[in-house]
Amino acid sequence: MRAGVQLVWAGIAIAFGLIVLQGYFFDLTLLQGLRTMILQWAVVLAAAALLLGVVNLLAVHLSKVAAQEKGWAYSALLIGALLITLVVGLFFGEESPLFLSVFQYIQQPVESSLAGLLAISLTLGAVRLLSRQRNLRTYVFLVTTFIVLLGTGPWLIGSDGELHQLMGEARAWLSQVWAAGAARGLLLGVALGATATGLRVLLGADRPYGD
Amino acid sequence: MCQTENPVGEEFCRLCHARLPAGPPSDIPSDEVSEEVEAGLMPDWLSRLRQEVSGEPSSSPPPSRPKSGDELEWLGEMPQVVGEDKGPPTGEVPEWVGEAPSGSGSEEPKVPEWLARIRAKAHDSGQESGIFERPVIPGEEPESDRQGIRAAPSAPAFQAARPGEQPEPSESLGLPDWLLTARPDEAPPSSSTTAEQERPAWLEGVSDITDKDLPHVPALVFDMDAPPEEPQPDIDLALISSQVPDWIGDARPAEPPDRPQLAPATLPSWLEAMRPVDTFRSVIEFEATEDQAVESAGPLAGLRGVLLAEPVVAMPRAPSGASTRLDVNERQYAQAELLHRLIEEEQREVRPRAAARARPGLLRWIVGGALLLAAGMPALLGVPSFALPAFAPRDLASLVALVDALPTDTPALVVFDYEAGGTGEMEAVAGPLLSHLMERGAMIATLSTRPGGSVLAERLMATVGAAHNYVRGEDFVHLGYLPGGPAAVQLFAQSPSSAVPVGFLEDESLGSVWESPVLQGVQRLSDFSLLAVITSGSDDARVWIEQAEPQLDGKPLVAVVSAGSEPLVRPYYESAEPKIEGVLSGLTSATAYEQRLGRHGLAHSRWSSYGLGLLVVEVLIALGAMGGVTALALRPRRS
Amino acid sequence: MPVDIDPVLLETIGTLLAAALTVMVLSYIIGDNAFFRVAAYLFVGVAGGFAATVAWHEVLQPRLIAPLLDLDAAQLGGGNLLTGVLIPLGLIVLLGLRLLPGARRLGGLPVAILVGVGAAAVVGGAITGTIVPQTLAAMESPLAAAPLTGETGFERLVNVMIVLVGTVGTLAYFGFGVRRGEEDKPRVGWRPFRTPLGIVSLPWPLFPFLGEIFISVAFGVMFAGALSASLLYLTERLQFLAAAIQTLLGGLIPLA
Repeated sequence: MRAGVQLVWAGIAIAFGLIVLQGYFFDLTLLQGLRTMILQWAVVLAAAALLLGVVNLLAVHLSKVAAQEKGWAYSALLIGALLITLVVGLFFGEESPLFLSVFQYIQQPVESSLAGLLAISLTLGAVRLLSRQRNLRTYVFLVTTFIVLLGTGPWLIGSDGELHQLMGEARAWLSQVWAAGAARGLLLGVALGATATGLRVLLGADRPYGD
Repeated sequence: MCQTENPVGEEFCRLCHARLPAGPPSDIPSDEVSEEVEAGLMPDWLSRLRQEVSGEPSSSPPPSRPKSGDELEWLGEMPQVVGEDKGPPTGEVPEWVGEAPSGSGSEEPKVPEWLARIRAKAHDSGQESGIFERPVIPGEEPESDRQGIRAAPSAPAFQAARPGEQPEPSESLGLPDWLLTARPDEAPPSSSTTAEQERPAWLEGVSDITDKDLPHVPALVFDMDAPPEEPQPDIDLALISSQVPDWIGDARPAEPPDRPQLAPATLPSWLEAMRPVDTFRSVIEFEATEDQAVESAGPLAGLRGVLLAEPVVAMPRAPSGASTRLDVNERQYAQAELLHRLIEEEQREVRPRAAARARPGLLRWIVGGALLLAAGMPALLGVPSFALPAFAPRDLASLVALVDALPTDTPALVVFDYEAGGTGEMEAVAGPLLSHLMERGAMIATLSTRPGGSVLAERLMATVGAAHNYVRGEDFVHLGYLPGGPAAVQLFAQSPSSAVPVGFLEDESLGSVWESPVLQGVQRLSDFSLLAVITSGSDDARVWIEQAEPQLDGKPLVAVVSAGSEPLVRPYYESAEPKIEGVLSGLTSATAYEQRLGRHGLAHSRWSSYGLGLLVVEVLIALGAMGGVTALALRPRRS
Repeated sequence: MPVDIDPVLLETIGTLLAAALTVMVLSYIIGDNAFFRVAAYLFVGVAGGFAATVAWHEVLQPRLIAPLLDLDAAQLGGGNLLTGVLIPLGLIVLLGLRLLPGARRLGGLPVAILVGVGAAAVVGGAITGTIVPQTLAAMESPLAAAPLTGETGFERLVNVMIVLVGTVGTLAYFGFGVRRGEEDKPRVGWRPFRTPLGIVSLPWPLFPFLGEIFISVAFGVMFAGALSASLLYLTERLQFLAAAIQTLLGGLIPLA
């Protein structure tokens, strides 16, 4: 019974996937409507999955509060903030100033501040790099970083000089030629890997939708 | 020999048919022996030997014995056992064995009545009565030969049962009192060895084993035909020591006069050849059954030849002087404690050690403070001020030209695919492009694949549009949130209206956002004049390039990306058939863009802080690199 | 539900709250502390609630609920009630059963649809949007001028060759296989080669070594870009704090 159900799900995944995939290579009017309908279902299911993810988040932290685990007070704060935001959004509407203010004055400042802390961490990492690891790759990495930084921002003095312009050209050359060559290889590798993974699902070799 | 137990009197082994060694005189009728054993009588030879307990050991060869005692030489040649009470010298035949004791100064040993009876009986029959019979000594009284024998200390009393008497209590084991109380030093004085000794009947047939020098132990001879013997409680086993005392001289039983002389069997030669060869001769000679003591107590009661437990095993001994307490020194005690503690710790559940809270080091303080100062000082104080970029990036010109060439009758689609945390950079970089579009009067439709994208779009559009008087609903609309990743983008590319049926902050008077004047005539993706993707990561740009670009039908796709994502977007730009028509990346490009537009926007406002921050970072990285190289140079080289 | 809230009051309170939260998060510079954790947990809760609300209001409610309540105003997106509302609603119910241990198996259908459609979109986009175009781009003639940047001549030749070597080297570095028995060996090593100048140690194999260099350059560029971007994030926050202080203090501190 269990194997039979698995096969049914696999068959549905393969069938729906092939219908969507053919649209990239062929233009079959017959399947156009079916393809659009399937993609719509996927969009709706993605939104529902997001809701379920939030419900799961709520359940995890509720269990932490119920079990009085270490840090349960923070979990209680999270639950309260989530429920209040939900209530405000469901009752006042997502376009209400109050709901938008929640995003404007809570989510955006905290998220931006967290991103700002990244500057300190990245700088610290670059400062300590040669103290921890010294090899050809490290030297190339650090020299490239230094040249790009020099060519990116303004100088205190001589910003309009030839040296600054030379550094700008060097930065552009490194970024748009050398790095682009490596990036093309990375993109090809990523695309090949994603293709292999997707084909495994479409051929039924991988079934991540099981129990 | 096969060491098989054979009945007494047998000449040949019943199993291997080997000739049995000549043991104690076998001419003694077994029935008489049984009678005497049943009567619990002390062996005669033993009783005689006990009288000779006293005396000094002598290493001199045993003196020549009188004729009557020649057969008893083997008794005197018995090796002296260690620990044994000193008795008569080795080889010296006690006088009571070989001759009549001298009566000078010595008290005649008193012969017990039962012994006298036995002697009398044996004398009458012309044979030795048994192993317990003492050779007849002229003038000797039956009960006068026990004084010299000292019993082993703490030995249980072993009283020889007198005929008709009840068996002694078990603790005495039936041994006669004289045997229990006899002392070696009370042994009767040695008498002249020249006195003729009458050879006891039980020693008849005992061969001269002078040259053999073999110890004898009582053999366990189990008479299969005879009924099991009853225990003889009146036999004092305590006095029957497993160690033959020295005072056992070389008394020999007299030759039984009437012993039938058996003619040796004549074996044929071939049979003689088949005879098992005695390759091994046990050192231990088995005594005749009648010479063997009968066990009177315990589970082996009634058996002959039982190894005597007393006094070696059964008799309680005082504990040895060694202490039973375990001596442990300090080191051993410490090791034992350590082992005990280790075992306890193993059994105890170990709590996971809480991760130590990481304390920021000095370097982190320095870097954090320097960056906060560098980024905040120009914002707060306005100094220092950095010069604006003098040289525009090469790609900016093509982008500006592209936007300049856009038709304004169709809206441009701007995708806001960055998180709220990226507003600091993306608003500054995308602002000039939006400003340029607004400056050209192009209508704009925003879309996002992230939940907060619509709010960010509203925020930036409100900020930039304020300078251009752009009004939502008339100049720009928000198509809202599009969930689903690549599949959703593919759906939007295929059918935009079916992907986003409702918008964000749309005019409620309209039935649908697609009824807005901004989206007038827009049915497909290619109906938009431009697709601009604003994203801080390269993945979103790649998704829109892969999914939407084929549906654009030649319409330009512009990527506004973070400075860190530019290399991964560049390959789509640098190709003969580029997927991207324009790239805008980094604050430098944005500032130059604003300069080109002649407007000072967010890029300008953050330029000085950006420049000072970069300067501080470059100095810190340079110092860190120099420190690392210096540390490498100063590190002591390994030999 | 329209609610009348004084926008000035809302902005004042919101600015105060945002400034306080900014300081609480930036306090992480001195180490992990309770203020930082409070701000982080508050952010997660708000973000979760916000995302759920937007998903409901912009996708689920107009597509599934509104049509059931008002068929005339339904935004079915070109479909009908069955395919546009009922079937998706049923699929969502099945998806919700994944949360129940006993009925988890029934939720395999919507997950299978999501997985199948997502895989197809990824495969189709990768093949048509990246693999084919980028492979063709790597084989471009170095003699032709760049269509967008306008590079020509020797500069174009050099740049194209560099990009080509970088592409091949990077792919060679990320080899899609490990030689049997040599899992522990480094990918690139140095081997002596006999040259007219004598025996010279050169990296071997060559292309993976070159790929390693190119990747180091690319990561250096990306690192510098990320660092400059994060500086902008920090700058924006500090500018906001300055503006907030100025607003609260009534313009005592001039801004640049």
